[in-house]
Amino acid sequence: MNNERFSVGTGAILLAALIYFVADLDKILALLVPVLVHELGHVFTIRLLGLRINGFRVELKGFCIRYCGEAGAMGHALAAAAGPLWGLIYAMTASFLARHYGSSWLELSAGVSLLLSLFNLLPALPLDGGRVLYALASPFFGEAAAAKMVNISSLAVGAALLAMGAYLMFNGCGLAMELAAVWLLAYTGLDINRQKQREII
Amino acid sequence: MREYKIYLASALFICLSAVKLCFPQIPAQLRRETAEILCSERDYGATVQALGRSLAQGRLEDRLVQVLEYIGPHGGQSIPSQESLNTPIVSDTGDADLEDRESDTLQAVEDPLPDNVSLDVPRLPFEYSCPVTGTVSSCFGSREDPLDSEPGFHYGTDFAADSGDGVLAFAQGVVSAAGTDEGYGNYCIIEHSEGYSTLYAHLSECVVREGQEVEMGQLIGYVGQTGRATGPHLHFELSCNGMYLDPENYL
Repeated sequence: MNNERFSVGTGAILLAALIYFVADLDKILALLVPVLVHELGHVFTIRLLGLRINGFRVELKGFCIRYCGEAGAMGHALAAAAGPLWGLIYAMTASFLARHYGSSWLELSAGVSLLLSLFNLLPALPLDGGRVLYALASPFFGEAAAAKMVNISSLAVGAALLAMGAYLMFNGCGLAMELAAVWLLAYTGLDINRQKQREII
Repeated sequence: MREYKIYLASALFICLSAVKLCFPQIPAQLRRETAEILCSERDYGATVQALGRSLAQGRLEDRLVQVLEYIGPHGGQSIPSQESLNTPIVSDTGDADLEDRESDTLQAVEDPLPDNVSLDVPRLPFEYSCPVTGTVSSCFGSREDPLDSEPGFHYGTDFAADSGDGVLAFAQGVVSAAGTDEGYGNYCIIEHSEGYSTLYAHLSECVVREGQEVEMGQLIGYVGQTGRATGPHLHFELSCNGMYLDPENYL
């Protein structure tokens, strides 16, 4: 495992370069600001719970915050849920501000933040929802059973997304949903074993 | 090892910036192609923006229903076909058009969505811009008529603006009609490419004439309250081959 406090994977750099090249700057910012709010929501809540952050890693699969310390099941669930919750708060705020100032950029970033938060709340593993499920289930069923539960739920969510994406693809809605499903399935079950150092996307 | 990576990444970004600045058509072309692959003919950007906007308006359910319509069985028919061209936008005989709308009203009570209305958000095949600066005072969709309080369907978006404010062409096109209607007041219709057209109503004055070519953002008239209107506003409609679309998705 990488011990640097902040590191960026090669895949993430290449993806960022591609997005930077293809998209307009305002669209990139509309994507970046909600992501930052989401991650800072995690960081802020983790700090608030008195946990220690070991490192921050940006990979192709998303943002990972490594932290350690004991906060109880509720604490870990809260740390995982904090990103989407902050994202929803940001979406509401941005939407009201957009209405007040008539800014289409704020509307766009509110919409992005809303979708990002909802997607992250899906109970599948690389996403926050999967971590919330794991944290809440482990005191009741034990860590091994909770891990198994989350794996099953991740596969179910991934399969559902894949089916929905295929349906959308054949109805002329493009590849967007299918890509999300493939991404999710590719990472499902990959990082459930890292239980000593918990990670949050 | 780590510094080597930072140098490489910086070099990559600097190169990309240079290409982006010197040849802006390359990223634009790539963007179109990516959009084609990822979104097909849907405009997800506009949908996401509409979602963000509806959060503050408390119309989130409507938007979610709209998003579900995408996924639902009707999702396939995003661009209205030529056969659906059955409702003329404005009939020649002044108020017949309004009566048309009112017969739709009765239908609207039973069926919340008239046949000639689509909740889809197709990607427009041209550049466009907002026709007026003002706040949305009445949205596209079912509403009570502000004059006689009858339930009905509002085929466009109303922008509250000051009398005399300039109204600008939504996109490049040809003026296909400019005249006066009992309901619409002074109005004008611009035909854009691929069957799309826009209508601007209740103008105090229309400064373009039929057959004239207009560019996006060109002045075509001034906000007024001619026709059936309770105050100065622009009534703006967007349609594609006779199917009415929600203009707010694009503004």
